[in-house]
Amino acid sequence: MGVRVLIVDDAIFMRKMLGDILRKGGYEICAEAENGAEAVKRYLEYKPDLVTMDIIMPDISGIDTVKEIIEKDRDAKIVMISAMGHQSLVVEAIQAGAKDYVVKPFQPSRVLEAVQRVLKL
Amino acid sequence: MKGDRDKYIELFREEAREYIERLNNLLIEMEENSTSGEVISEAFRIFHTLKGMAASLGYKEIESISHDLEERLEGLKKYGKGVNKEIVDRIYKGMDNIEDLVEEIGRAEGEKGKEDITLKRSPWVKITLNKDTELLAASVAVIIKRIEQEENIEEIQPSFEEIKAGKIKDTFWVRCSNEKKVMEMLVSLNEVEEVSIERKKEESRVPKVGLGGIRVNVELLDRLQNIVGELVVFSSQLSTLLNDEDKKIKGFLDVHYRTLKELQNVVTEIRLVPLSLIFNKFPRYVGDLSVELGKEVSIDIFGSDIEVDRSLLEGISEPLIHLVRNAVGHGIETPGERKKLNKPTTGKVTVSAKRLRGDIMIEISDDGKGIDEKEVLSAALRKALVKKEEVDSLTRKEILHFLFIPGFTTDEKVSEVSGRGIGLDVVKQIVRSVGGSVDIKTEKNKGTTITMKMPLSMAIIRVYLFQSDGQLFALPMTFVDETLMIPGRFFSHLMGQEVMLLRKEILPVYHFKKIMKNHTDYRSKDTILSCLVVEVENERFALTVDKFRGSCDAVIKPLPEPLNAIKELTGITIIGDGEQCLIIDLPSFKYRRIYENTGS
Repeated sequence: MGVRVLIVDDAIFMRKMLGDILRKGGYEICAEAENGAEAVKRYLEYKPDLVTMDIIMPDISGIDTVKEIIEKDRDAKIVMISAMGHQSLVVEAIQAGAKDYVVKPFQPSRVLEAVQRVLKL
Repeated sequence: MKGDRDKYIELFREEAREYIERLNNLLIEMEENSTSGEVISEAFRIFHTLKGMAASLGYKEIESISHDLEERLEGLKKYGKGVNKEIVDRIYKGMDNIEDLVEEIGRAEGEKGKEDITLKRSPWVKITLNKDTELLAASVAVIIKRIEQEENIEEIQPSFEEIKAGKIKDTFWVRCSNEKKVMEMLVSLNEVEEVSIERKKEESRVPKVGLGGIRVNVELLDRLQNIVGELVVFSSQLSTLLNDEDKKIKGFLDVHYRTLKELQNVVTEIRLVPLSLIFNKFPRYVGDLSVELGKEVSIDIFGSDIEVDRSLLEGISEPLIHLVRNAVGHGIETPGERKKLNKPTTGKVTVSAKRLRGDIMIEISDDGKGIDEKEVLSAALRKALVKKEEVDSLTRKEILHFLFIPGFTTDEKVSEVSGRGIGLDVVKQIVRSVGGSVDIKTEKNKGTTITMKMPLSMAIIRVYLFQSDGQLFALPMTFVDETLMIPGRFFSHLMGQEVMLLRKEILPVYHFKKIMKNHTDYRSKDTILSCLVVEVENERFALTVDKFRGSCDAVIKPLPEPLNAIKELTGITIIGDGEQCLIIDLPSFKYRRIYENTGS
């Protein structure tokens, strides 16, 4: 069975783009979520091998979602997707248990590199 | 044995620093009130303690300086003489010397360890990142977390907090036991340019506080802030007094007002201190407390680099410590109990601070036993705080808020069943006095979270003004989400509660007049009502008032007696043309409203 990824982002555009990059890289997108609550639900439902998580989302932020997922599964592998200006948020997310990050706008190679690195952990 | 000594030295340095900080404050008091016996006695005791501590570790120089100052102070004490400039200067000097010596000990001990072949302390691993790494700080955080997964990190430079604040260049240091393994792990990472081991890293000495600055008495700062606050308000009053023809003067006044606002910002900034002053004490406190109580507790701290007004920090430090103690003492279960509940044996306490617009939010949560609201309710019934027939109409939230009623938790029985020691009422009172609100969320066996939300600065706040029965009231902007003008026919009733529909959200509606017990028939279906949409303790509702009067800056003055006993009022302020205006404490109003509806 291939590696299964859950994509969390409130923008359909970003989900589509990330999905395409990952699929091309040989990963299976097992589910998508457009907000934090849905992300936690999907995570428990699908137990994905990896999660990509937008840091800024309406309602529950990416950081709080990371906290919630990590609380349920200490070994969850989460890669944050963040814009350039949100450095301290990314640090906070990593403190909360996210394993790596990718900066928007991203090169496909950078996404795949981060994903591979995290999967090796 | 050497290990023991290290521990003592660490303890000595920590305590000595605390004493020096305290002495700083005492000296300022001394300069002002030179005959206060109490102040002299306390300073005497501190030097006496320092002397003893230094002597037992063999720090001769610190011992003799402390001894000298101790004797001088004792002389003053004995003969009831006040202090003079000479002795104050002498103490300052002695204190600075001690401070230097204490810092030196740290460096000297570090060096000793490094020369020792058996290496008490691990070497530093120096890590340099590629210059073009995106989000350098985040990258550092990722690397540190990776190392942490494999090895125990003893020390990081710069600290995690500094990293988070972006205070980092492309190089950082990590001290950990298995440095070879860490190096191997790191060289494979793309963003790492260079890794090396440093046996003797130049300890970058943290600049001493006050080195490039001056000591300022906090009271003077308070006064400065008050004066500036008054000026700002006065300036905005002036411009409302002018007619429209006075355009030229108005222009000048605008500049005047803006300059004053700038001055105010500077004063506010001077008074800022980081939350870490309190937060940094928690890990040790929680450690000691959990050992004492036979519990296993870990603590996570977020947001300690956030800066708040000094007096705000002073005000809330007691309640904060109290809440942390509650979380460890009453929230977290013993390892045995936790095992039975299938929880990890180590409990977790989280303290986190966040900035929200002009406010700060501090949350203290634990994953302990939580509070059973049924038990709270039965205690409330026992104490006749609520009538039997009213019970059904209470929401879970409202029940939990009994915990904040003065005296409620001081009952031994209640504090046992509720799993919350005494003092939530005190916490609420203090937070309220700085213009904030407290909220509690809890679930049985899951844990409890207490949230405090306060304005960053307390002396001046932005308020929204409205009129009711000819009297002017102000509501801190913290609570106001929006203002609406709405015809009466838009209101309807739902299960006995008046409500309105706002963008698909059903909001409960309350009438300020009615709450003020000033019943009048106030509307027909066509009357346009002025309506404030407010949020307090995570609950939104609409509050109708007679007339909006816009927002302004207000200097809060405490209410004189006996008005200060009215808990629905935070204070009084003078606005615009000198009109007096009462500042509403919305959280208290909210709970008054409950009784309004149940008709008691």
